[in-house]
Amino acid sequence: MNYSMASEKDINSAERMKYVEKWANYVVTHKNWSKLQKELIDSQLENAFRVKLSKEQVRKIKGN
Amino acid sequence: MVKFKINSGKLKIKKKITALDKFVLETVGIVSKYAEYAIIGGYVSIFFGRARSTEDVDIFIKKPNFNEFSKMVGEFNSKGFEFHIDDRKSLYFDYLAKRLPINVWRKNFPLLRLEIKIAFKKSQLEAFSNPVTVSFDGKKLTFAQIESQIAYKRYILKSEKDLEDARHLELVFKGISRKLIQRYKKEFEHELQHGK
Repeated sequence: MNYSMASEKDINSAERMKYVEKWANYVVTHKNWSKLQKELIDSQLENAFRVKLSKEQVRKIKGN
Repeated sequence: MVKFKINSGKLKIKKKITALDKFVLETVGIVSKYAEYAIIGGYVSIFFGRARSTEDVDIFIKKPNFNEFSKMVGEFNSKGFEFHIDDRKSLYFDYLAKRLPINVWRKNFPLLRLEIKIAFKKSQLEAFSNPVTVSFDGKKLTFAQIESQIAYKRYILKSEKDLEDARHLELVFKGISRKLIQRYKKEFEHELQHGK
């Protein structure tokens, strides 16, 4: 990894962490955090469920 | 500002139950009939609000005897779940007894798994002496101590995702003990160095 790539990674990590902190702050200050989280998680799992992967395919993906 | 606050190992919260929570309640509900358990890993942060999902839910259990284990596998199978290996003896003696994790999932959805690990290290067994029992919507789940999860993610695993999980937990809980995080850090590092 060259210097500019490393710097870009650091910037991205810092940006992601800022978002994590902002969201954590939202969780402790807003009652609707779990409604929003449920929408996110349920839609992710619903999409994953639609893919209909077999256990062999999952084993390949996960490497176990 | 309302942070999660644990009192004497107990916490009651209000939350909407996600599809992931339902999977955990169902699988852990079966496990708990046969073995003491504690939830660890990414799901701890997710349960307490982290804005992400996961495909693996990790738990520690106290090693059950083969008879109890066999009954647990039977109940999972009768309720539409399967393990990565069908043979119960092999699951128990080739995996659990050798401290290897076993995975269980709904037959039609192998992507979402419960990973069951036997607790054998001192730090792992502490999950049972200092558990956090969370009540929500008339249901209960037991988690390992939050400080242990922060320490493990921040100082042992250290991936971007793990560092974020640790930071999230630190921010949403009131009364997190920095001293306890440092104690766990030392313990984890010691166990890692000495292969315990």
